[in-house]
Amino acid sequence: MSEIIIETSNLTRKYGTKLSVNQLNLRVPKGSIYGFLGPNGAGKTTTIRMLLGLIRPTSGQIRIFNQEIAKHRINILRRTGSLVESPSYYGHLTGYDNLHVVAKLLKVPVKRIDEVLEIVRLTPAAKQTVKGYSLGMKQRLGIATALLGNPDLLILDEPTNGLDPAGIHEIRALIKDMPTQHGITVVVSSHLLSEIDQMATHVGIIDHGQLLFQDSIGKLREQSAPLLVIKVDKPDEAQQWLQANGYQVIIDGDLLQLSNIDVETTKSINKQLFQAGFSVYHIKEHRRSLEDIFLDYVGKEGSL
Amino acid sequence: MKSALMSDWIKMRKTWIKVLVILGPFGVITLNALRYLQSYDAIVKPGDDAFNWALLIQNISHLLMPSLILGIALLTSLLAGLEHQGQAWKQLLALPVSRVQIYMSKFIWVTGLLAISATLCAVGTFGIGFAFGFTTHIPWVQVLQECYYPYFAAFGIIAIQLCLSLLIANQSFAITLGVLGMIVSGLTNALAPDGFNHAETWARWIPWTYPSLSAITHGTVQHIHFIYVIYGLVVGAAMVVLGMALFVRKEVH
Ligand SMILES: Nc1ncnc2c1ncn2[C@@H]1O[C@H](COP(=O)(O)OP(=O)(O)OP(=O)(O)O)[C@@H](O)[C@H]1O
Ligand SMILES: [Mg+2]
Repeated sequence: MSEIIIETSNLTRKYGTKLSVNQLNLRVPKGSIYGFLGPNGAGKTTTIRMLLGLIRPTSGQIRIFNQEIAKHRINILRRTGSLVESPSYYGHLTGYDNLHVVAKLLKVPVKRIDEVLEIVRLTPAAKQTVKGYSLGMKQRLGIATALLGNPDLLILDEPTNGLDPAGIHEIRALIKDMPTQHGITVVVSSHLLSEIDQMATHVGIIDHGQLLFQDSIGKLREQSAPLLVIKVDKPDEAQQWLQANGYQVIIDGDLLQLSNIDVETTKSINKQLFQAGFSVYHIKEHRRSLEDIFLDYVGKEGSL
Repeated sequence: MKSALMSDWIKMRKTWIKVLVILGPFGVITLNALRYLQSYDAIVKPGDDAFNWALLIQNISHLLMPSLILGIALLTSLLAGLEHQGQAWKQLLALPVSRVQIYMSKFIWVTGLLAISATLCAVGTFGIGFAFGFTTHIPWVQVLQECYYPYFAAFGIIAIQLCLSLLIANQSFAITLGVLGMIVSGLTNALAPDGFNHAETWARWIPWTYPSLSAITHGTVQHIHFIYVIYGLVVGAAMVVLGMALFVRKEVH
């Protein structure tokens, strides 16, 4: 069992009477890239604000690095870099000076400023005032700020928001390198599964404030293993016959579904059903994408 | 604490804040200098330097009070505006720095910068006096009182304006309060000293009256009331504690 970096227990937050985050039990393992996934308004940002001590939970606990955030906020934040939703910046200052402001507070040497500027490829714009930056450049500056204090934990809320495809690719590559090269644990929120799929090792799916799935990305992928869908004349009898012959079959309307199927089994099932006197109208392999699974979890109305 | 102060110093680069600190006293002094240049014969009694200094102190004081009160509102608002504008709070307050330090740093900067303004004002007053040849009866203490007593008496106003500017993103509230405060302060100036006994009953409840009541010059007679300096410092301390308590509990969205 690997070490847990972030652990919340029944974390709940209300705005008025509305439950924005409801009984969340997050578990982020050390060295993982945890994709925090959910549609708009799911409660991702609200959760992240609580993790950073920007807002207080209505109830529930948060432990980060095995310390209670309510008691050890400063200690935890010393090891955490963060980026919360829309960019934060001092528009009248240059990119370099923006980082300088934070470097002073973190007490890191100024040469670290040049390093992080280089990492997010903002060196050429370092002497430009930030109010003249594009959204993507501001976002990069935010990521640079998050990296400034050499954190052990990075919490990034929609970090690729506003970036162009090349920028998204770069940031994704950057995030993927964090655990292996620097031993950093990363929590990255997104409303796009495709994005999480390309970098995460673990996934938490949240909707309407509730955690619907949490496990390794492998476990989520298993659910996307192909199904064999068969249409026959007498589905109930066919199901019984197949089960008697050792197959796991579920029935969905008038369709039979079998999981964990390869080509050979497909061939032999088809042949056996025919020989047993069933008429097979239709047989096909159905492959569900991760996106389908995600949409199953959050419900179609929650999708984009 | 030092790192919070230095961080705020970098933030103030290329802003009007430092300009305002110099511009305030510069305005007060230059306007008076121009007036003395223009109507020297009407205001200056040659040979009666005691009178000349007293009148100069009064003239400076009449411009100083409203500029001080409006200046406080502008200065705190500009400083707080830096954090509100680019939604910097959520980044700043997710850094490993206590909110108490962040709040104190702002308060120290505002009071520190205004100390420079008060000093410039005193230097400028002596400058005008010497430039127009008031060489005897130099009222060293009185000039310093005229500039520094209102400054310390204004600590309550500074703390109130800072609290408002930091906690409410929309700076029009803080500026409106500053303008109202300036008007109230002007009223006390008009009242005293004839209405002084009257003012004493209510003025202690209104921190905007403290600066002008702490050192008011009327008909070339300077009335120093150190008690208003005490009031200012007490209200300042109380409001800093209150503002800090609110700031520490503030939710950041
Ligand atoms: N300051 C607030 N006041 C009232 N309600 C809020 C506030 N902040 C968030 N909410 C509510 O909480 C819910 C969750 O919002 P949150 O910002 O956490 O969603 P999100 O998952 O980050 O969505 P998105 O992908 O759009 O960023 C929403 O229904 C929102 O209306
Ligand atoms: Mg969000």
